[in-house]
Amino acid sequence: MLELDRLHRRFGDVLALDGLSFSVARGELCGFLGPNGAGKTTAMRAVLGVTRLDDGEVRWDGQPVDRAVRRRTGYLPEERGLYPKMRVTEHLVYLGRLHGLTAADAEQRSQRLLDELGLSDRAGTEIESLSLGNQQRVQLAAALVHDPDLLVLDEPFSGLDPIAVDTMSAMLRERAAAGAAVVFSSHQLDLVEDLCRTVAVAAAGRVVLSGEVDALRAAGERRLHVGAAMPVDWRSLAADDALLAHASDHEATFVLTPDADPVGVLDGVRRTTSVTAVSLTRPRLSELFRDAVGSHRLDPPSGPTAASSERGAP
Amino acid sequence: MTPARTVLLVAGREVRQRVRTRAFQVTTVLFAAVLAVIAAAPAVFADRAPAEEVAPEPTSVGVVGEVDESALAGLTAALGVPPELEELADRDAARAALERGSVALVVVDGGARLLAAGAAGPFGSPVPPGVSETIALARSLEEVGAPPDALTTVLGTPPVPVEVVITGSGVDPVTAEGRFAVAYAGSLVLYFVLVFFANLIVTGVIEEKGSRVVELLLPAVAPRQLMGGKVLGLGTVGTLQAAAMLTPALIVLQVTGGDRLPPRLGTSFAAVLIAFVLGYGLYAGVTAGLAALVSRVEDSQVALFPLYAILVAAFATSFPVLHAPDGTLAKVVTFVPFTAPFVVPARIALIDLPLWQAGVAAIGVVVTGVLLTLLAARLYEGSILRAGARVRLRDAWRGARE
Repeated sequence: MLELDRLHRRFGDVLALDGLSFSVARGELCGFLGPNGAGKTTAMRAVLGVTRLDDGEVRWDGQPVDRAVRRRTGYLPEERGLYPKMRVTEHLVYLGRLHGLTAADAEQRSQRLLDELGLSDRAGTEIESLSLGNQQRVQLAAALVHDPDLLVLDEPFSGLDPIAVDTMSAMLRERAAAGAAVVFSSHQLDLVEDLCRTVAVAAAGRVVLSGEVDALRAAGERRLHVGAAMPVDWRSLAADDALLAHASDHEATFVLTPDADPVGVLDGVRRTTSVTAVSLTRPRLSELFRDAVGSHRLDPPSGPTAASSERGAP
Repeated sequence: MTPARTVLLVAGREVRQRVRTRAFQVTTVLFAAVLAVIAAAPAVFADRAPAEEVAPEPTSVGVVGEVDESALAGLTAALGVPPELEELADRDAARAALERGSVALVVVDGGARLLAAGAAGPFGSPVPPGVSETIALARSLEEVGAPPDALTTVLGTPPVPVEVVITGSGVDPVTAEGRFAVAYAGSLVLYFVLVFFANLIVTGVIEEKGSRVVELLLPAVAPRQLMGGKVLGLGTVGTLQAAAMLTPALIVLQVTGGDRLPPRLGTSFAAVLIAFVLGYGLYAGVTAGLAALVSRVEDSQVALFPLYAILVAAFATSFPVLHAPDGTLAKVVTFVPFTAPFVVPARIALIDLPLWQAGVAAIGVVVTGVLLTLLAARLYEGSILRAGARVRLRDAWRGARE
């Protein structure tokens, strides 16, 4: 289990980390979210020991993270970097050996990763001669070559085409399934929602929301969309636990608190007319994210159709 | 994994990366070839030289008006053969002839004065050596009544031979010349190899820092292991390269040199190699530490200026030492760690340097090198992760990692 415990770090006037805490268990894929400047990169660099902390501690299995743990950690830095003049396999083998593999193991692991990433025919190419997309793949291979127990990936999906995103997602799932703790930052919230069981959302150097995605969505405010055969006085159906978000003559959207019973609203409609349509949607991760970081201004609450239906669950 | 194994892994990468580049291979082969050719040159030219000196060409000398018999005798004695005389009408004609280069000099006023074109360089002489002195001597002899036909004989007397008596550090001129050449070549090669490898360290460190690959390495490798491996790897390459560059020349000298072989060549060769290893050890750590302050090669000149200034000054110190290897300056700078790598091999080539002096100098260099490298490792650690603008020494020293 990786634990980030009350991390503090100040750069001059900027408070990058202000008591940031969350944890990632083995076998878990955790999405680390937050707007730019929330402190994600600083926190990840602190895990790898490439930035110093003013206060707080990073622990692995209850012990402070040291170089022995970091040798078993795979890292994809925000600013990608490999030796431009080294050849692909040679580079991966070198990194593997630095992380404690034998030459033969490093060779074998490198070949297998290059196969998985579809880079076998580039094995002897110098890094600087690769396309950016392929460099990105080699960078991921560099993070995985020593079969790490802990993976810390800073924006691993940025700059990848959809096929590469799928490949990388599959590889990360596989690592987590094999028992590694995986944490990665991303701005692609839908992708995180698909991929991760848990998330941590940071804002201004703190974690403002964390836990299992399903539980967070279940605990969030649901949206009830109701259609009626005749015009309805929707206002009269609103209650403390069912706020009216949007209404027209024949349809309306209510925001329900986790405890509210949607049947109450439906019964109210059926007293005057029949229900023609109904959907109850849990909030999307992107909505939870916006609520948590307190920036509704990015996308003001719109009609019920904006984020409902296709993955709606009663 | 032990720190030693990590350092060796890093060093191994450096060696492989350098040795396989085309630039490295070409430079090494080219240098080795050039040095071998230079080494072969004396043997080739020494064979031909005597044949050319059998019959000196008569020199063309211009004459304005009458010339004394005595002046002519002096001219003949100084030049070795009677000159080819060209009669010139007046001083203007003489000037024109000098300008054309058809005469080497012009005798005027019957031999009381010579006209000559100015010398081209600072070390040239307007007239052939001895000409003006011998003419003056001839005229004086005639004035005191020496018979004109005796003048040529008197003035043509060969010089008294000088027998060199070996005292102290003095040696005969041929040996001295050979030793000087060896000492000179040794310090030159040493300087260039040291500067070359300082540059390799600079570009290597900046490559790691600038490409940010260092962020991938440092979680697994301690900064000082990374720096140590780089310095060790490049040092190994440098020593091998210096040996590869010098060995062909050494073999050529052994084969062609015979008894003309510069004395103590093998000792000097070994001294230069040891001086490279020690000098590299002295300067390499600081080079890496200072290079880590910057993220771009363009900025490295400023950061490394103090190092290059010391390196150039130390190299420059070897020049006065070459000319006075037993002087006070030479004795003092032998024990200054920064200059010792240049001065000690030069002195070993030139004089019988007591072994204890070389030993003390070597210990001084090693101790200073270790201390400097420890300081440099701290600078390296404090700045290697701070990309962007040049890190101030003070900030690097405090080691506050970004």
